[in-house]
Amino acid sequence: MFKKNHMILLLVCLMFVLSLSSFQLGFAQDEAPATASGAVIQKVDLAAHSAYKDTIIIGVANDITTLDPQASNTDANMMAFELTHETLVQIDPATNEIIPGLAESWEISEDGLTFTFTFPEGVMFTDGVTPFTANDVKYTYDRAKDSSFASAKVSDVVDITVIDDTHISITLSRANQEFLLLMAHKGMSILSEALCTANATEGPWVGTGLFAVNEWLPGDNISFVRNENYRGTVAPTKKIVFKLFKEASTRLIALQAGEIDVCIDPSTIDLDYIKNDASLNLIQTPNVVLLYLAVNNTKPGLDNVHVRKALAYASDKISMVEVGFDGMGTPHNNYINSGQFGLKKDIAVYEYDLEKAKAELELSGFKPGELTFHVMTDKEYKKNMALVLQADLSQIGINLVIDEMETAALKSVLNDAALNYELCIYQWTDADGTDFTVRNMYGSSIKDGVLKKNGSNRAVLTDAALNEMIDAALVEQDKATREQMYFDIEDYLNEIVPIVPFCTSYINIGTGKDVTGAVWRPTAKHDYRLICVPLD
Amino acid sequence: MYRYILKRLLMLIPVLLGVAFLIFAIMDVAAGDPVYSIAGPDATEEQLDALREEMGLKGTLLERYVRYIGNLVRGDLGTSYVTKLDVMDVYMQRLPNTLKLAILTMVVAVGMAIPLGVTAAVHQNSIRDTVSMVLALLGLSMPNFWLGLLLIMFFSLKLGWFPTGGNQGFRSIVLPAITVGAGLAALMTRTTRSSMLDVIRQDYLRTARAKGVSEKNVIQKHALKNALIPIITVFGVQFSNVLGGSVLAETVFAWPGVGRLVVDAIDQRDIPTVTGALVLTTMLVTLVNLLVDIIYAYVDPRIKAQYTK
Repeated sequence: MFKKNHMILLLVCLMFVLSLSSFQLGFAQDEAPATASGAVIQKVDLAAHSAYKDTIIIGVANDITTLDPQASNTDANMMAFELTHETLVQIDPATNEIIPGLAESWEISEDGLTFTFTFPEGVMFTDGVTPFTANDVKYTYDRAKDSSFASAKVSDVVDITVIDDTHISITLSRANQEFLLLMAHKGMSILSEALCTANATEGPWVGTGLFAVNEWLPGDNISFVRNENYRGTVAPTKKIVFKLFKEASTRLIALQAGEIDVCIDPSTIDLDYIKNDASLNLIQTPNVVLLYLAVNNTKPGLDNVHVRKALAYASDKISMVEVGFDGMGTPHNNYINSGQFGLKKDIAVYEYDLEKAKAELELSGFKPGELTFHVMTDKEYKKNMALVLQADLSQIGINLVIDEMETAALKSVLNDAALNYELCIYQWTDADGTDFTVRNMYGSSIKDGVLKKNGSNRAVLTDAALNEMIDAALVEQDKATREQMYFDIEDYLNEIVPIVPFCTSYINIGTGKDVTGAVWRPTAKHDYRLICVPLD
Repeated sequence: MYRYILKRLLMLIPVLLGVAFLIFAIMDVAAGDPVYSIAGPDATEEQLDALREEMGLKGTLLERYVRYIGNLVRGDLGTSYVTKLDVMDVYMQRLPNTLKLAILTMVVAVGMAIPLGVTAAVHQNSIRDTVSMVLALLGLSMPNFWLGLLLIMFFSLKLGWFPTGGNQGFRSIVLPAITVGAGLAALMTRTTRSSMLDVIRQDYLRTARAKGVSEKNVIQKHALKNALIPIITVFGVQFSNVLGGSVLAETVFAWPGVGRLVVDAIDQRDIPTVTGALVLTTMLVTLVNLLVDIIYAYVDPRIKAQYTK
């Protein structure tokens, strides 16, 4: 009798728990079309509406770590800088063309070395009392030279001359065709010399943007208030809040419950909930972030091009997309990000083929079972991809050991001068300029008389011939010729296989049905300046 | 008694010194040079070196430790490597959230555990005992994050009674407190039951009943009071744990508490934040333990007599 009671109670309790867990929530789908650049632009006619929701709350997965544009390059921070600061120029999200930012116009000298920018008069920083002058641009760019995040962007700048309060000329050491693209990067946001000098910590928080920082509670939320004195059209929304929800499920439920207006990066397995909810909108666009296998080309075995080709042939990218992104991604075969100028669409592909991989291994001179490599991973989805690679490599006779690490530890190994790693599944997110990508990922520079890899060159490639190709492409003024030069660079890289490109994923965003005005970028650095919910 | 309290407070000093040293040593051997996590990819050797100097990472472990303790004595816990904000300010911003959650969690846990445990013991082997023990088993075996999500789906989304997460006033503490409290209540229920079972068979209770004391008074005034010592011990341990932060619940409910502050700081190798937060939490936990010891004395005169000696 006693045991029977136990059983019945246990069953009742189990049924209670199961009934709680079986709540299903209703959703609907409404996908917005992406532009040619991959950005989803929600255009809003500000003149057509007279009232907007006061506050927009954006549920984010990653916390803001700094409000100084020159002290970080994470996506989360970049989105804050876009609200609070301005760059000299900006990139049109629809066409990827350069358009005016803080500078209303600019002229380029015939030799392509000198850029003269003109600024509007009467521009104020968002504190409302500090005027902007051309001196602030000089201060910002001089300051950038000492920043480990921004210095590469101003490395070609040899002279900055303030002509007057509204004019400045910047001279380069070479005719860098991507200079304007680099100046559009949020890391080059213009700061106030007066404010930064007065308060080194909080001075850089203030820009000339459409919003100003209102309150920052690290680990909880950050809010921005509208800059009512903005020189152009003021933002339709009075206050924007980035609210941190680390757990994806909670973030989505908060959107469903109407507590937040935007849910960034919901879990891919939960997307149907958004699609099936009539009050929600699912925005999807291919992500340009390039996920790749970083191969340290200086390590024994990996310094052999045939071994690297064997790795390329043994990479089952479709399965990796399946296990890493629940099938929501695309295999990637190029060495630069998709959407970048100079991407060679018809590049020769190392199709997944274990027989060819075996043949390459044979050509390398290594026998099956002779090679063992370690691959570093820092996230669950990357580990899953590494497992796919491990299984395939074992079939061709290469042992792969997966080293799971915390992101901080992994970054430390990658950036340590000792370069004590073999393989790593890593990503390249900065997709603004092709030169910036190839120079950082594959380029090297002479230091103390020897070639040393550039910052993000995880392949540890020191190839003088490649450097020359990169330098030549940078200063080529004919667009078609320059594009061909990048095709040639990609072909060259494809021949030496310094890394193995894996895939790209999708960017998913859930929003309330009435949310509009935002630009959802394939770089995941979204532009919320005009985000709003019209009330009429 | 006062001498005992003073002695315990003085013992805090070596404890804190030891904890700070341990954290320093652990962070020192943990993989990942903080400089590489904080500097950008284009950092030059000179920039890295300057950053090490700025972050106080130069010198031996002992030198850095002594420097840290010197600052600690002056109330300076340093500046976060990542956010550049004052560690003490950040901790103090989170501490009220953690205290609120911890206190409400313990209210929930005690509010569930004592009645269930006493009922189970008084009605041993009955249906009530079984119900209590099954509930305790459920509380123990349900993972925090799962229970949390179920509660959010039901009470926030379905019924709309509570916010899904974040710090939005009293209503937003209720679900995390139930989530964490349910797990703690389970252990306390079992402790209460077993402690009560030990006491309930004692001769003095039989005497009380023989003298005509009502059953309610026998249980509440005589049995429960004598069974409280192990329950208070568990309470103290549990309260200390919650003060250290309930990372899972804080993550699920987006609750900005100390637990998540420490975990995030560890991820980012933000040594000043990790060290500062753990030293302050250790101080809090030690004080809670002292408080528990003082409560012992009030509950049990025999212990008070020992303290006086």
